Amino acid sequence: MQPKPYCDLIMKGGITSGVAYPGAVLKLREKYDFAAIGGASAGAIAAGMTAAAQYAPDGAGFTRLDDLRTELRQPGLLLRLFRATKETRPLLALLTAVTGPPRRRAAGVARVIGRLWLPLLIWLSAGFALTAMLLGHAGATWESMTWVSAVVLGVLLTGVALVAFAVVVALRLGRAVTAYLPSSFYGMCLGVTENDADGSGPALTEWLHEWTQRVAGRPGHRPLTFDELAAGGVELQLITTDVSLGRPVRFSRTDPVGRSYHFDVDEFRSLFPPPIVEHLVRTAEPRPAGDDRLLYPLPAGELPIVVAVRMSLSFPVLLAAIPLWTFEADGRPVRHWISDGGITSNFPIHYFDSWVPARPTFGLNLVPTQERHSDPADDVTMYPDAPPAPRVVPITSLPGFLRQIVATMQNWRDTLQAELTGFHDRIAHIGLDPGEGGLNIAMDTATIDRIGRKGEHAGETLRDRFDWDRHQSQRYEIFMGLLQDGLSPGAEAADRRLRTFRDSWESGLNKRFAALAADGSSWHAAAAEATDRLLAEADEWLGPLNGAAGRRSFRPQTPLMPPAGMRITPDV
Amino acid sequence: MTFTQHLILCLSMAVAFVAAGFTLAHMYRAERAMQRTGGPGLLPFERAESAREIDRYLRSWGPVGRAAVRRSLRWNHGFLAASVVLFVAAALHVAGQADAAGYPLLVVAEVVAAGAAVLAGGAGVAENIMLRRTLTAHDELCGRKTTEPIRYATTTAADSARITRIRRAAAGKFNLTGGVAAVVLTGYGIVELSGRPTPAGPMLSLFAGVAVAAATFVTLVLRRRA
Repeated sequence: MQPKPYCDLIMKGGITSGVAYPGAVLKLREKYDFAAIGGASAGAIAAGMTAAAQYAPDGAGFTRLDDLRTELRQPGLLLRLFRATKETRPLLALLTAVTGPPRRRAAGVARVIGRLWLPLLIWLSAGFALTAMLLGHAGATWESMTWVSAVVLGVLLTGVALVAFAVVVALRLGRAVTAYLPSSFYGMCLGVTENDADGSGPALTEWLHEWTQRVAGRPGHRPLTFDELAAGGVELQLITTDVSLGRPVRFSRTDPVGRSYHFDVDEFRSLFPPPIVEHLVRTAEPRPAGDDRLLYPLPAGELPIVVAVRMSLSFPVLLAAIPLWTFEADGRPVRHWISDGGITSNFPIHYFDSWVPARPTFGLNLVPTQERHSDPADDVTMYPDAPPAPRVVPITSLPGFLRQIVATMQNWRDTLQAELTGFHDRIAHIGLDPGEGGLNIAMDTATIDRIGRKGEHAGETLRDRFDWDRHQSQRYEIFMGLLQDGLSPGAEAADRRLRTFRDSWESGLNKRFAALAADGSSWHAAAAEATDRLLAEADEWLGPLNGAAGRRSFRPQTPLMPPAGMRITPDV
Repeated sequence: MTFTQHLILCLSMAVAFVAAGFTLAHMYRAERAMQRTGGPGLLPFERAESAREIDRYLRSWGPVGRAAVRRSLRWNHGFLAASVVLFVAAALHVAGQADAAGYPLLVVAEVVAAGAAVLAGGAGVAENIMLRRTLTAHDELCGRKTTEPIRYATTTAADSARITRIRRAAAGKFNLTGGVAAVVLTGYGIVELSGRPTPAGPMLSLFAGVAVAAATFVTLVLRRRA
């Protein structure tokens, strides 16, 4: 059988919208094998599962990934996976009530009243006692009461009950937000089961561990690591956010070794299932950190991929952030809070990119849409020829304005990157209406199926409509054009105000190198000679093109829209 | 019920209020110390549903937070004693008033409430003792932190049976106390409208007690740590 070509895949974050991805991956798999997979947040879950499926030594990984798709259709699965800590249950109940259908809202209110009957009763009794005391000292008695005064008393007590209810609910929610959320790592859900007796099955992180192992065809006690993926020819890169440092962090086989993150076993026990914690404790020697704290180095290659997935998937407030530690120069430990990858880059489409790609890197994007088509396939779009028209989000209220500010801060870079030529033709956009995916953790099976069908169609679209030859040629031209701009822009340099490498070299850098070479630095002498040769050749390198018919330059005939530039950026 | 009896019961309640305010302020300070370590307060610890949950609290508190928990539990004994005195005195006061007003069923209800208040106090003491034992068991596990790291990383100190007992004791304490409060307050309202309201003198002493308790609480809570 002829081997399949390789591709890379990047998936966007979107909490429950991730149920779209297994179908998309399975459709892409019909034509490609996966070499490198990346993602953020919910996209990180799909990336981890895809990597595990590709890794599976028995070759049945994708069959088991299909089983996962069936598992996701289970009614109530998402609600069971997103299980709040006991202290923050009222907050999650409120969230599901607000985002759910009206039936669920009514049930939520009934549940809250059911739980608050005792404090309500006490407040009501106190209100009655106070009123009776005032009336009694004013000379009122039961015998002197008319039906009108009884009605007034009843109305008064009902008012007291309503105020008491509001106060009690506000106090409970206030305590959950100010005291309990911080103590559960700033999240309502830890991702692990704290009470086996409730019979709800595994929570999110345990479920992720179970399914990663199952899809990879491995026993549960030997967590799949980045090193093992690499040995199987699979690269996985996941983005997360170190909110303490205010920057994104990439987890891969080699990152973020430079950061020297440590973890506290006491904290990790609350966030990861025992086989993961045991594996991590076995891999390294702990370092005492004062205050009875033992910190273990977080491995890079030996890191179970579930840990990285969970770090990328810490949707703020819904899922607990992950505490990690570093040591200051004076040996003092400092805690870092690792939260959702989507905070800094929800769609890291820049991953696996190179000057000119050797294989396609597909992107699966999730976009909000207000209209629902009868055929889910109509909600999937791809733009092979031109970038998508910028999407204008209508803003009609202050909350909408604030929401859009956050969305802009979060997505502007990914959005612009995805619109570039050489990017937009390899991305499928899956449109989701407000009832689909996102924070809707109480979605019914029909909605999950609908999203799943959109995912399948997105996979088919990329599989069938993507033109690799055209894409690679386009990327070649863009790269060579930008290289030309930097090295040999010709007469256009002044017109376009290009900052060329030649200008930088001749602005004094060449003289500094010459001086250092004169002082005896052989490296600077050789480097200056190599640079002069490069620039001299660059002057001549368009020669063959000058003799060619048609275009006489690498530069595109019409300027790239949106424009692109070549510069040094952080590799993260 | 004579004026002196009214006065004695109201003064008892006033003293109990002051004692409760004093102990509650210290518990509140301990609570803040627990929360400063990154862990929750005492309430989730009392109402924990599983060994893993208790384990999370104990580990998140660290040694500093666990010391604060011990302090809180010590003060909690005083608070329990004060609340038992308060509720028993209040229930007996209302029972006396109900007797004088000719409400025999209310008398029975208040006497039962007084007994329930004592039971709630007992449940609270039992719960405190079990919580302290859980703390001790966790301290023993912490002793193995460096010598047996795998065991430390994968086991919990609390056992399920004890957690169930703690939760039941806490539920008993809270439900009984809530029920007693509702019965006493409702009963008080009923007898106040019977034509024989509690005399103003004893009531004023009770209000003075509440005011002193509130002042004590606020002063202690606001006092800077030494």
